[in-house]
Amino acid sequence: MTVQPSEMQLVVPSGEPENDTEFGTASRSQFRQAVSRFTRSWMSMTALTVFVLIVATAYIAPYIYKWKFNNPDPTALSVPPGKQGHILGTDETGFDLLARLFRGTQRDLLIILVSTSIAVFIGIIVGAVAGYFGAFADNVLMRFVDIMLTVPYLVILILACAKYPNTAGTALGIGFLFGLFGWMGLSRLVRAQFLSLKEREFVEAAHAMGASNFRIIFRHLIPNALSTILVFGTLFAATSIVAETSLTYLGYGVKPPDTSLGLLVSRGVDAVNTRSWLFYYPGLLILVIVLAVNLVGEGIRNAFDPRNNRVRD
Amino acid sequence: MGFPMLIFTLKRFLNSIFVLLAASFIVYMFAASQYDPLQKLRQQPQLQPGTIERQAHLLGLDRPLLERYWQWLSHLIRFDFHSIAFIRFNFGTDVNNTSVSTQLATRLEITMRMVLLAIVAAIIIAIIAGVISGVRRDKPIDFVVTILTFMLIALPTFFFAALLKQGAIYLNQHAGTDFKTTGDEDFGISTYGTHSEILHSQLLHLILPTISLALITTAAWIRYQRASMIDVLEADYLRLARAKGVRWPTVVRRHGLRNALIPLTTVVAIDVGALFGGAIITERVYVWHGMGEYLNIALGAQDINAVVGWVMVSAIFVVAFNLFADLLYAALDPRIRLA
Repeated sequence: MTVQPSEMQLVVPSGEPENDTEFGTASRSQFRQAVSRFTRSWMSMTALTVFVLIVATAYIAPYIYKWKFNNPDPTALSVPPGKQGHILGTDETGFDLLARLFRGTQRDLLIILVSTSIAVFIGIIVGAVAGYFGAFADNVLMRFVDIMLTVPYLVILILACAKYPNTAGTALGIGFLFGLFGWMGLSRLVRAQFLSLKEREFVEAAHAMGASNFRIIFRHLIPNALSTILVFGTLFAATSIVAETSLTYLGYGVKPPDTSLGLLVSRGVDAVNTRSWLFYYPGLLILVIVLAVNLVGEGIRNAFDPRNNRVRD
Repeated sequence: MGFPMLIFTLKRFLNSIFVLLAASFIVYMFAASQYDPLQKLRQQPQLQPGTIERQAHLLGLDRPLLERYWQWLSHLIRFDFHSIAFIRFNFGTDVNNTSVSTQLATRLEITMRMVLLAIVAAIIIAIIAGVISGVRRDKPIDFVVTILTFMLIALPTFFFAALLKQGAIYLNQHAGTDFKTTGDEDFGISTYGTHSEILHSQLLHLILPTISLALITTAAWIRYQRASMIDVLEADYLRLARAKGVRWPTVVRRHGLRNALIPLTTVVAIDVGALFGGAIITERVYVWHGMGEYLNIALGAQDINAVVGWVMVSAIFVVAFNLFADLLYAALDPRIRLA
């Protein structure tokens, strides 16, 4: 008895597709293209460089710098910038402003990191479940998002932080609260993307090959929604810094002995007439950091924008 | 207004009511289970035994949560055909046994002056700056506007407000101007001033906070307006109009601008919540006795009814704006499905 080879077996196994050098360049993934577009934009790269420099300085410089953030100089109270070896001056208890700015930046980076990862995580999960499974789950989750969005974000944060002053009083706690109440925008975006993505052929193909829902969501759908997630993540990081300064200014945010950029600038507001450097320098630093993060986000958005697609380059 | 539009309006309205109800339930449950209005009382030395219990009974704190929520909800709305909206809200009484609604109404009136004026100013600035920036894309003016908007987006609200205040104080001292930098009206003027004097004083005090809030808010809107203008300018119907010989300014005004304004309505509605938050901060910088101060007091006293009433007012404000924007959007753009 001879066994007829089935049609499947007749198909020649195709390895890497041959490079069609005559009519095009090597195929590149969407992500690669985005990265190359990002690195070509001088504005995005400048913003990224500035941000990386600030982060590096905030973590490395304290080891070299003479004054420590938790060690006041009793001989130099309210010294203006440049006097007695304090580059940016000191506050009324003798804390060196520059050392405090390093520390504040470190704490704000922690806030960004915690809040953004929590918000992105919850946002993706909720958006994915609502968009992919649809029907009942979608209805329940999106109604819940509607309800959460009813109360202004800052007000939710004030309520939460006022009730848990010990949690909200530290950088870690405030980042946690920000993330817990800030994911709604992303979940809507991810849901909208999933609704259209799940009807596409590659999802059908994955289904046909027996991929589980879990695998389809994480290996096929989320990578396709990557640009949305990345842009949201950067913009949310910027929002977190601004929200932290606002909350701290209102008295519900970070409290001493912990410090943050928001705390520094909030205290500076009271001292603006007598020790103006305490007001202007922290504010300037916040401006530069948030500006850099926003421009990086804008750069990512442009890099993924299909309208910027160049066929060959 | 056609029949589908009526159905759409009704649906959106019912949806808003549902969302508000659910939010009120969550907020009330959170506040009632977490806040302790008797905290101040407990700290007093030499209390008569039973005082706490008596006070708790008086405020109804000893009853089950659900019953208290029902009590609160069933007294919430009263129809009153003498008021503008035909309904009156009753948020119960605060710890000092005064009506929360009455106090919120006074506070809201003060805050709304700033908020509504800032919204109008921000929309006007956003349209002008966004359209110019979009039409003159990649030209020097676009570059300047873009840099300014990004800086405004990056500045914390209170920092910008404080900067503006410092600038005004500097001008007052050196250039002889008379900007009002603190308060929502001249101190005590409501007791001795005439009606027009009070209005005049309030308007003068409005200038700086409104500029500050409007500029902070308009920054993101300018970006949207610019993007939507660019989108429209690249559309085929615009090229067609140009090809048929319509002059460029007319094309931009008649065909471009009208369509480019539609997306802004949604953005404005979404950002109203953020604007409300910004108003609280701006009020603090300019020492206004508005909503922000009231929330601060209410939270300090852990006053359940006052906090819930406050949050519900902000929620109603946000939901009403979103409803309005949805309807406006549907009316402006016939392409959107009224499903």
